[in-house]
Amino acid sequence: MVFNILPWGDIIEAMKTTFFMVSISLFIGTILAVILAFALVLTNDGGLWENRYVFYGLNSVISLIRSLPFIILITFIFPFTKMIVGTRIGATAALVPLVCFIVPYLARLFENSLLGVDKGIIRAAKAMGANYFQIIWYFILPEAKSSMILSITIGTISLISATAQAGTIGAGGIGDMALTYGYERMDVPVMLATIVILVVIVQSVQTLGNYFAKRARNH
Amino acid sequence: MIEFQNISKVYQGKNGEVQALEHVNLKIMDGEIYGIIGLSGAGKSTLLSMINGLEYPSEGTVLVNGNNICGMSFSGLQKIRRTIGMIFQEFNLLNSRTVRHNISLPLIIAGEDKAVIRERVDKLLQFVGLTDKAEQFPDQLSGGQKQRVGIARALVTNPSILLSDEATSALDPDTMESILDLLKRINKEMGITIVMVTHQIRAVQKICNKVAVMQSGKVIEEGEVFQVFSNPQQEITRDFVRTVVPDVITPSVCRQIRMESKGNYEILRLKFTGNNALGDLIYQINTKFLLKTRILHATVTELDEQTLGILILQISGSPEQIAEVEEYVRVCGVQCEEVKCQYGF
Ligand SMILES: Nc1ncnc2c1ncn2[C@@H]1O[C@H](COP(=O)(O)OP(=O)(O)O)[C@@H](O)[C@H]1O
Ligand SMILES: [Mg+2]
Repeated sequence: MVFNILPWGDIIEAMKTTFFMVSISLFIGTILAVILAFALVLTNDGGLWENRYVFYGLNSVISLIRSLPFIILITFIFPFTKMIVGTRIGATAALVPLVCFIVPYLARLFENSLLGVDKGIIRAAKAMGANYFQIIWYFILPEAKSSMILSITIGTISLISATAQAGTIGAGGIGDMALTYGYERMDVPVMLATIVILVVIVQSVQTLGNYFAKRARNH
Repeated sequence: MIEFQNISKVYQGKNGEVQALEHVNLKIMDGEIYGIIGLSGAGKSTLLSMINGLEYPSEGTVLVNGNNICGMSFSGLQKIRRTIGMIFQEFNLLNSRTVRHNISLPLIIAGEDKAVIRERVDKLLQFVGLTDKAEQFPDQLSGGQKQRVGIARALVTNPSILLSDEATSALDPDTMESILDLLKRINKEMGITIVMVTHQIRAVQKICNKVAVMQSGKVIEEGEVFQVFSNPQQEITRDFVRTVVPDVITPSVCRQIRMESKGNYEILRLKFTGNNALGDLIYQINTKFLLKTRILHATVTELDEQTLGILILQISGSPEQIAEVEEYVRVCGVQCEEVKCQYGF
């Protein structure tokens, strides 16, 4: 009964859109955030390439973007979005603000993961004759991996919730569907269904994240 | 040979400058186990880290087998670092990797062949007695086992020098003894020079040939372990040595002497070293001078394969007789000094 009154075609379509937005922005965002986080840690006091100016520059930009609510960020970077993807609306257009939102967020989380790596391990690495690249690749990354996976998990969940707000620029997706069906059309069954779907997705992401983080720690 | 020439080091700390080292001169010969002892903050780790270029002196030169560490290109330094192993108090192992992988790391970053790495690591696992732990992770091991992994990792590149920064300081006494035994074996069997920084005099006593005592960035005493232990010159050295080679009478003995002794007496501390350690001095004193002697304290210690005996004697007799005894003792080649009862009422 209940099953039949739901617009399954729309729901599947919305889930696909959410998956598209989250996966692409997460993929691009993670790469950029890793680079940014390393830049922060390496140029910070006591880092391998200590550089005050670079550190404070990056740090301020990250703090600035982090302090903007996502909905404002979307509007704020309209011109930039148009320049990059040629349009200001739709799921593809939403990728630009989503990436801008997730990069500084993940960069901060990754920065913490990297700072969590014992300084003694870096000392040991240097004593063995490791160069900078090897220190990062063979020592810092393996030790930070588990904590970085948890950061990506948190980032993914934040992205899912951000996509709902991307609905304001017609991006669609499951969160947007909950808003339009629930708020605008007062369609309670659909709203409830989308909520259930969101909860299941978020819980699965968290469980998966925990599992992989544990595996990365060891065993 | 490792040579420190007039080394000074100033750190820019949060509250101004910190002078970590001041005009340090030391020479460490090949094949030695060289101990650097001092209290926390004396500058030991800073000095040690200059050997493999983890720290640079603000002034002075560090030479390792003739190479000037300070004026070296990074690739040159990298080559030197592969001939110098290092172990740490906190072990500094990767917790996310197996024991085998941890030990392999120096060879992996040197671009060595997989098969060569496997063979080398197996050999070292056997040497440190951890063959059955190869596939385990560091947090499944005890402190002593972790340090063995650290040692295997430091030796995997076949270095000629091993640097140890408080490697036994985080271990319980039994484990410390076994790690010290292992270090001694490494020195003997592989001919590796060991520079050992520690605040534990026991570690120096057990395995070192030479020792330098540091205080506030300076080397205040230096020499053969046997020499320094049998005749410490500085107060701090005496304090260190006393904890493993006691050379004072206990308070209760002191009190008793004060209560019991009538007439003239003197308390002498005799230090027997090397060959005269097993002489018949007491018998001679008793029969030759016919004086009453009483043993208040006695220890015999082995240091760097030599014997040091310390004997505290109470000798009763006239001042002239006692002076004769003292003269005789010195002629026999035994160090002799008067001790006062420092305790009691
Ligand atoms: N990176 C650093 N920055 C500022 N001061 C330092 C630094 N490293 C060591 N020091 C200072 O130098 C002195 C010697 O330190 P260290 O060599 O670690 O002594 P030890 O190993 O004998 O305990 C200490 O006073 C310490 O606080
Ligand atoms: Mg130290």
